[in-house]
Amino acid sequence: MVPLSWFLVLGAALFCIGVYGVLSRRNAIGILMGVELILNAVNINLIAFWRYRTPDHLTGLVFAVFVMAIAAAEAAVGLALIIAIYRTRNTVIVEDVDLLKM
Amino acid sequence: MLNYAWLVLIFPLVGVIINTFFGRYLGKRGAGILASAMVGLSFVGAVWMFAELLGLEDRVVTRPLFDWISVGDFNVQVKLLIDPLSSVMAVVVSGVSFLIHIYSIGYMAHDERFVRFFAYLNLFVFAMLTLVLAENLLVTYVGWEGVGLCSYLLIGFWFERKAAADAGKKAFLVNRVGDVGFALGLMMLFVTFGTLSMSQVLEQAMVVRLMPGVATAIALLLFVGAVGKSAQIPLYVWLPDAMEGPTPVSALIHAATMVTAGVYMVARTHMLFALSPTALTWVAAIGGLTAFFAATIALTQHDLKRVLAYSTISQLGYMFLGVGVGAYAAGIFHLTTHAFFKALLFLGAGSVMHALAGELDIRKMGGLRNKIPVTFWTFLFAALAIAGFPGLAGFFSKDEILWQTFANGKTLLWALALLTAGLTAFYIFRLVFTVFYGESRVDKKVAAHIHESPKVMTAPMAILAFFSVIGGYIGVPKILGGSNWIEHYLDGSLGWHAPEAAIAETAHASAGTEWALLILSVIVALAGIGLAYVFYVRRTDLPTRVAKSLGGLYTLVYNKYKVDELYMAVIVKPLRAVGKFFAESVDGPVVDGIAEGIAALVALIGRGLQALQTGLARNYALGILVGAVLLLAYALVR
Amino acid sequence: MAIDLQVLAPEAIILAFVLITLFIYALGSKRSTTLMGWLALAGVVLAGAASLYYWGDTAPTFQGMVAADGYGLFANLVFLLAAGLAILMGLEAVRRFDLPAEVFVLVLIATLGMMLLGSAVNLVAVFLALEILSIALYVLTASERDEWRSLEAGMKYFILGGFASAFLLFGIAMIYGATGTFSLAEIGAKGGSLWALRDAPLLAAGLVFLLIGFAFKVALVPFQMWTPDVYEGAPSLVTAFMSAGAKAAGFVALIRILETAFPYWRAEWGWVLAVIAVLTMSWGNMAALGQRSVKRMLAYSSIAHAGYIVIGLAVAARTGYASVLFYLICYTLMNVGAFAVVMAMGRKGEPNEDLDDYTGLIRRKPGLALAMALFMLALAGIPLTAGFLAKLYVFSAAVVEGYAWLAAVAIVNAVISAYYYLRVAARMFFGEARAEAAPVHVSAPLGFVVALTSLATVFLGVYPAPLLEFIQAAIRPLVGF
Repeated sequence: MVPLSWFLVLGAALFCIGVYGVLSRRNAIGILMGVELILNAVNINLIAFWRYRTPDHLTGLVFAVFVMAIAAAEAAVGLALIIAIYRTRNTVIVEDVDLLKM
Repeated sequence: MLNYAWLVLIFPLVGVIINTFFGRYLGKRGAGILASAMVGLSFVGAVWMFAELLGLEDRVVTRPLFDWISVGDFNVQVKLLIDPLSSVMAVVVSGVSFLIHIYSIGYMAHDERFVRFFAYLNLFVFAMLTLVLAENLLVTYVGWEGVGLCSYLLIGFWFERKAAADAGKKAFLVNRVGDVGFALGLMMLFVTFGTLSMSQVLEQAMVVRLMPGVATAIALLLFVGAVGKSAQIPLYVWLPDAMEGPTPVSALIHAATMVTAGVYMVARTHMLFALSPTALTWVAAIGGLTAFFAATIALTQHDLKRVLAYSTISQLGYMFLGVGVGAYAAGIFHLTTHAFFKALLFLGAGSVMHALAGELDIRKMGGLRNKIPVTFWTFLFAALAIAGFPGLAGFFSKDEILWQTFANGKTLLWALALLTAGLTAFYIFRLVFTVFYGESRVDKKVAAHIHESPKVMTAPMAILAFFSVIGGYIGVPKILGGSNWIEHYLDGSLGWHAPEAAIAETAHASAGTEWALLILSVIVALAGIGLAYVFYVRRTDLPTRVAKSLGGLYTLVYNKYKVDELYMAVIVKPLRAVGKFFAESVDGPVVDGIAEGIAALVALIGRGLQALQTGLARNYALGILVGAVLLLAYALVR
Repeated sequence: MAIDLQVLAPEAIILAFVLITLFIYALGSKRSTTLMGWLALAGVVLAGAASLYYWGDTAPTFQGMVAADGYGLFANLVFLLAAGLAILMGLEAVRRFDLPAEVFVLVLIATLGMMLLGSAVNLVAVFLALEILSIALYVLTASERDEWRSLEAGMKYFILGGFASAFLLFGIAMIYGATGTFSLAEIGAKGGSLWALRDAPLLAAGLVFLLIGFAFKVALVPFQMWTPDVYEGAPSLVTAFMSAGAKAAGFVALIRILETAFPYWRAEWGWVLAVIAVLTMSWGNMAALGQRSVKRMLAYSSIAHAGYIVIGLAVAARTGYASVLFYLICYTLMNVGAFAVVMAMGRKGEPNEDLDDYTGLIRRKPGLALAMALFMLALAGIPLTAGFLAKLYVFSAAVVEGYAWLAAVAIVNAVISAYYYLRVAARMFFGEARAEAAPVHVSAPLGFVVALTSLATVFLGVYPAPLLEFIQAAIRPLVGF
């Protein structure tokens, strides 16, 4: 059987890729995808922990489903925001939205 | 009622809140009536409390309201202390305030900030009653600053006038000096006794043996606060200028109530003063000197309200003289009678101004006796009362102070006070004769419109006149067949003497001496009145001739001993010069360098931090990541 | 396992009113906006009444997800206070700034999230509640759709908020991996045998990530960078609601989590939080010094206040937690009041947030200027205001629990902060207003908010005793007797 640590390494890697995506992407949709990657990393961890640590209780598994739902809600709100910004400023590049500062 | 004593405080506060938020919907009349009614209710409560206290055996009652601050060892409980002293004071304050509120409805009728005026007045009454009824000195201090705040607001009420705005500022600055003293005194008191509760301080003062000098230092620091608030030498300079405020304010705050807070506070903390004969001597000396000094200035001024202001300073000096010789009850007695007749004098002055379109220069008055009769008669009674005419209020209270001073062995101060009594009679009747007798010197234009004030103004004056006449009978001395009731009553609060301090035995002096002194002071008072009659009715050329023959001395007194100029030259200008010197030579490179360096550093860091705020979401995300890495490193390395 | 709906009555009431207002919104016309506002307010009042009614019930419900104990019910009152004031401000804002009627629904949803967060005793519930709250706030922030500042603020808040939530979630997964449970009480029981952080690296890392998520929400350094931009850009009513309510929710939940699940590491996180407290308040105060926009100054000031509040958490004791709850109420009052004044000054398209716009306000709008001066004094911590006692209790808790140095730093900070607060007051009183200054209009609901918060600020500064007793009772379920 595949040991638990493999899943955790995969989760950690996915997490790092997601963080990198948030920090490096200029496009708002790209950043949103980075956040989604982190959430997926969490889900992998959750499922793995559930499977290896507490297979008798479903809580870990159920939580992963919740996370998916929340991620979908967040994405919906995020896309709506991005569209609204695009309508007023004609851009989806986050760097261009920097009038509030200091 | 004692259980509901807090109601006395709450009523004026309700008035403030309603008038502040809904005043403009009430209309002028409504707002004025509401404010007066609230103070009236307060007065009813105070009288009720007083009456209930009379029926008690133990007349020191405390009513805890709530814990204000409770942190570790430092507890401040908001508690009401109802005892003879505070009950008398509460009745006087709320009663006089009530009358002056009603008077103001008429006096301020044409002012556009009418509602705000009444909100301030109510707030003042609330703060003053807090000061009076507080059991904890910290709460007293809150009230003390509260009345100060109202005082500045009301002095500068007509802030469009530069003089008024300046006077407010001056009062604020001068009072700061006193308040710093007061605050230091409170801190030292807390350090010494570990409490600011009046009853606990009293308990401890009986048993604790203080380091020599500690009691003196505390008492003198508290007295510095009193000197500021009650306008004594050397901090009296703000009070004459405070006359720029509306006249009812002068009557209420700068004559009858707030300025007496200093006297009240000394009486309230008399256990501390009793521990220190040195401090008491200072109080008596400052009081006696101020009484005389201010009376001489009052002789020469031409501004009606300023004469009364100097008179107030002088009378406050009497009160301090009284408490300074250990006759606390006599001081409070004079405070009470003074509240009646001095408030009345100011209200009379306001009524004269009302009749003469705001004129204040007594050289432009005269012959008003028949034109504004009610004002004249009430003013006359008040003048007789302050002059010490036998049988009227001021006679009994002032004479009690004189007698106690003499009995205490302070003969010099007694002589000074006696002389002052003569001056008082003279200057007050100078006012009576120049304003109400003789030829009219009123401007033609104004003269046509002279009219008596409306009833809403004259009625309070009449009531005050009544009390100016009979107010003294609460303290008729034994030799006149009285029982000196007020003194016995106040003994419940003020009867405490230091365990080892030598109690000044008033009994030494014989009844014969007391009679002699009594007659002497009557003669002095009558002589003052008579002299004023000669000067200002019979031989009206005399004042100028005397002034001329006195020459430089007259000018000096007329210019108020040039004290304001002196302060300017000795304190303000050197301070400025020193400040300039420090600013240019020491401060610039050294102190300023450090202070400004710190400020600049803080500002620089601030700007640096702002610069980090680039507005780029990515940088903010980086901040989160950096924080995460640091925290994670800490957690895993530890 | 029975599901006791009545224990969650306050939350259920809010949810019902969310549905009712949404229904009216779907059916109604432009005119129904005001009706929605009043209905939302009614919901808030009813939920408050229900919270008081069920006071004392302590049974965890929904299979150990939430506990309607005194602590949670008390927290409800704080959130509902913030929500009620925000809705009152909203009644004016929908007209003046042309905000959509959904703001009322969204405020209710966010309040629901806060209330669940305050009662959550399971990390699953914590995360769900936090997301309900956050997503509603993202939309609220961007709700002034024709104003670029609002949209920009919403975008930044969303991106960074999502990022921080992901961290938090990652932390929850690690904690689950280390202990095999999401229940706070069970985590606390399992960890009872642990001593040092490095004995349980997975759990420790989980705690760190969890802290990051909350530190973001309540704006602690270095997770606070979003705050000034978002607070400045969001409509004033949202800023007021966020800075008071969301912050309170974050602190309330953080206290419960740390105290229930990680009591054995008190010293560890106490020290970390103390350092964060120093950084946070210093950062907020120093950056606020140079601000010319009153609204942005208040945003930085809210960072500083979060720093003061963390002191109460860092000292990690009964007195500390009590002082935090007291501080949160006082802060809600004075801060919402200040933002209400900021809102009163603004008009559609011209925010009038510069210091110059406040110059000489005492002559133009004396009541508003006096109230603003009071809020500034209170935020600076001048005696006889709620702000003074709030600071006093937090600082003295630090001294009593042996963090005297922390109190000293905080006092220095309070002195610095007085400068920029009093500058606003001084400008209003001693300056001459510009001739072309726009007239300021205060409508009845807005005036009510200002009057209520200013009166309460003074009242709590003078008579805090009943509230303090209430708080003592409220934290009993958490820390025992």
